[in-house]
Amino acid sequence: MSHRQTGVAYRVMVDMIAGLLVGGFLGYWLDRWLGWAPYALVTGLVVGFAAGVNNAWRAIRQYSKDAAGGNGGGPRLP
Amino acid sequence: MHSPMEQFEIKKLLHLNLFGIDASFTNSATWMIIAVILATAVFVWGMRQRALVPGRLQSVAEVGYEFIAGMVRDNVGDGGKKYFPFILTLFIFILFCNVLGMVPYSFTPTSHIVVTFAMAAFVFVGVTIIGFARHGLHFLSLFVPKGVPFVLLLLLVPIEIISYFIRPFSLSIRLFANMLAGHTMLKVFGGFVVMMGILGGWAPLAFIVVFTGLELLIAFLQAYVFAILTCLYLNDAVHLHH
Repeated sequence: MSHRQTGVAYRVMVDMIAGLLVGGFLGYWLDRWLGWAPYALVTGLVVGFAAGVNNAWRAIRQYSKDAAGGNGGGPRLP
Repeated sequence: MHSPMEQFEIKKLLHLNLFGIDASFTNSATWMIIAVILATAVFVWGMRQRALVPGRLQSVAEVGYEFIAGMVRDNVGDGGKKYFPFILTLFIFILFCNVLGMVPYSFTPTSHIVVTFAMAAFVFVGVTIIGFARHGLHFLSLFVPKGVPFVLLLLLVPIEIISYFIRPFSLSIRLFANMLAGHTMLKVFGGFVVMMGILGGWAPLAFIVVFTGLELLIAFLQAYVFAILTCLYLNDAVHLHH
C-alpha cells in the first residue's frame, strides 16, 4: 500500500466526521441564536453530512482518476 | 501513575502578559522553536558544500525539496510555483513537530488543535484570497456544479458552500486527532507494561515497539496529507475546477 492510498483513506475518514461536526455546530448555534430548536440542528446535521460525503467523494474520485491515468503512485516517495 | 493525557499539558515556562493577553512562553512554543531551528540547520548546514554528489545531510535536504517540488508541480501545475516556498515550509515544520514529538520527554505541538487550526485557517484564508484575487467574483463559480438543473442547484449550492467551509476543520482535526490518539495509545500501553509486571509486561512492550514504527509513519503521513491538501485547495483557487 503506497503512502498515497493511506493518505486518501485518512482524508475520507476525517472529511465525513468534520462534516457532521461543522453542520451540527452551525445548526446548534442557529438554534440558540434564533430559537429554532430543534429544526436548525437537524437541518445542519443533514447538510453537514451531505457536505462531508461530497468532500469524501471528491477525494475518492480524484484518486481513482489519478490511478486510472497511469500516475497511480503519484509523486514517488524518496 | 501518570494519566495518559498528562503529556499534552501546556506548561508556562516564562510568564508574559502583553496588553492583557496571556502570551506566556510555553513548552509548546519551545518545541516549535526547536523544530524550526533543527529544520533550518538541516537545510543550511546540509547545503553548505553544494556538492554535485550530495553527502548524507545534503541528500536529506534535496529529497525533501524535490518531494514537495514534485507534489506542487503535479497538483497545482505551473501556477503553483509561487506558492512552493510556503508549502515546503509548512510540510517541513509539521514533519519536524511530529517527528520530534516521538522523542521521549518531548512535547508535540501538533497534538493541540489551536496549533493545527491556526495553520489550517491560515491556509483557508490565504487560498480564498488567492482565488478572489485571481478570478474576482468569478471565483464563486466554484460553488456552482456544472450541468445541473436549476432546482437541484438550490440544494447543491449550500452543500458546496458548506463543503468549502469544512476544509479548515477537517484539515486541522485530522492532524491533531492523529497525533493525540497515537501518543495517548503509546502512553496507555506503557501503563500496561508497568501494570502487568515482569511476567506479562512483554506483550504490550512488543506492541509499543511495533506501534512506535507505525507512529513514525503517521508522523510523516500526516505532514504529507496536510501539504497535499493545501496543494489541492490551491489548485481549486488557481484553476477554478475540482
